[in-house]
Amino acid sequence: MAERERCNWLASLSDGRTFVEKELIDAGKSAYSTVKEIVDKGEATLTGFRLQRAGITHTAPSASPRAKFPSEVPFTIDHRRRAAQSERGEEWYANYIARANGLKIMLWVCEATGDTWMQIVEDKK
Amino acid sequence: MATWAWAWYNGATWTDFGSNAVDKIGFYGWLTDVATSFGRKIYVASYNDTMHLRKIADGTDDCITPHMTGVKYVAAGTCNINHAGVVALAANVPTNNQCIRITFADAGMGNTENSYFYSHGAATTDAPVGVTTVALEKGNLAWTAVAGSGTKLTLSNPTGASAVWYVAMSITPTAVGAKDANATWRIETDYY
Repeated sequence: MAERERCNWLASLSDGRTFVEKELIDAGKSAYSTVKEIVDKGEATLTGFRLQRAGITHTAPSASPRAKFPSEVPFTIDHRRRAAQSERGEEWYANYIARANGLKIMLWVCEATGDTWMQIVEDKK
Repeated sequence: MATWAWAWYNGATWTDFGSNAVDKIGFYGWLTDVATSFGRKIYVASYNDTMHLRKIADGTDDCITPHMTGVKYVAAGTCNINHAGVVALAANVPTNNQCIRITFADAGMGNTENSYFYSHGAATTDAPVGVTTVALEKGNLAWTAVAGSGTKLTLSNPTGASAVWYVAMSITPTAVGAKDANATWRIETDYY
């Protein structure tokens, strides 16, 4: 099994600030909540949310107007990690979720191999 | 650093299963007591009575006495714990200590969602071959069939810096013969 290299996310805000997940965690802060709170309070808007693994930054493809991210359509972002374990090993994935136009667009990154894929589903919230 | 840990309660302490290269979870029938039931066959269409750690190297029982607790599927809403008699599943039947404990923690986590428990065969999408598997989370009032990625047990979604699930599983062969590597148990969660 390939060795896992954990993904980090990078969030860019409209006021020029950039947050890196690992730096927030190392500082003892709840990473995603810190950024979400800034956005929810209206202090700034998100202009970018990307996943980075092994020096490679992953962004969603922009072939589809709806999937374009960051994009000109209004969107909100969300973020999850997925972990699984069995006797055959562990699986680690990270994703971000962009919600726009009634769709939930997820970019997944396998933290063991770096493979990425898109998942677009109806956003039932 | 994210960590998973599977453990069983041996009557005094929680004991990690340890390396998968050393032990497997073994499911067995019943002889005269839990200890002597190691290696005892399970009849077709009957579920296991006991569970043990089976050492891969020499096939011996690697449990620390007292042994792991076997929670046997009897019917959808009942079980038999270590062959003590049929009882209805309830909020505390089986208890935490009679289940397998699975814990997960990672830096910065506070919530979990989409938590599931699976049993699968060669691939995570495949149902086990030659066996039927069921599982429950402590507090469930009915067993749930688990088979491949499509038929799964929905777990609770704990909050906090770490997540803990207590799970029991039971298994029955669908045909005569050893079933040494037919089923693999798997847990999955999303967290943030």
